[in-house]
Amino acid sequence: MESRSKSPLALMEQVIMVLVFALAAAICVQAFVTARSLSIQSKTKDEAMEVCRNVAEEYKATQPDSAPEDICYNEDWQVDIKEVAYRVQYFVENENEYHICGRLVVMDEQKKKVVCQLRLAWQKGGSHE
Amino acid sequence: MNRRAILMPIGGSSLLVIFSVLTLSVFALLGLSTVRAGLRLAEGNRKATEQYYEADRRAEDILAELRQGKLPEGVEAQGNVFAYSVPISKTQVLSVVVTVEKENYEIHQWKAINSKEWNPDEYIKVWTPD
Repeated sequence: MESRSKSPLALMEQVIMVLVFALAAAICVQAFVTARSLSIQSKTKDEAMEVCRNVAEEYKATQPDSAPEDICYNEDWQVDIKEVAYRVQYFVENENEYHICGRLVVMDEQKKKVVCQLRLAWQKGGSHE
Repeated sequence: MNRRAILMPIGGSSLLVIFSVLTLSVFALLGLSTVRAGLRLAEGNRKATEQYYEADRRAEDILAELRQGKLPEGVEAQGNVFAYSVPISKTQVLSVVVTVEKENYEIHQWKAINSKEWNPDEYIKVWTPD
């Protein structure tokens, strides 16, 4: 009886499995990349909101009489005027002698996009405790 | 014997690939679901903070009006002590108590409090000591 070689069958199996693995790996790598990008997005949002809240509380505590200057941050959210990645700006919407009202905005300088914003107001003048 | 080998061409490489693909898929799905949960949390945090500062801004507006000698709607006055609350969300209000004397003011209370009554769930009977 003539014995058949199993080599072509094994080769075919391996080729099919490599193709299946490549397809599955491509889909999974896409999922990992999406996860990483969402994670960065989520971290940026969290950091931006934390900075925004801190700046808001500082303004409410110090109560400046006019719109404060912009604050610049680098990629690591450290105050930095040279490598500006994010900028915190205050836009006055309504102002009288008693209070200032406006928007505190965190801008992504590279994408030119608003990361987060808060409506913020504080009192002007008069003594307070 | 040969016929059986032709019908079941699943070898070691197939098993290895199946195991690898399963592992990869599980880790990819776990990573994606964790990140989505983190994003939902960040979004919720952003929304809550925005709601609080929106209420805070309205409370500051009312305080500014009080300092101008006006009495806005919803403000309770007892002499020169004024109390009012601004809704933050469905379950919270910003409660403010201030003393205003002409332009000067003193804040006695400026805090977020729960506005919804808490109803304990008594569905499950909990053992209570005698």
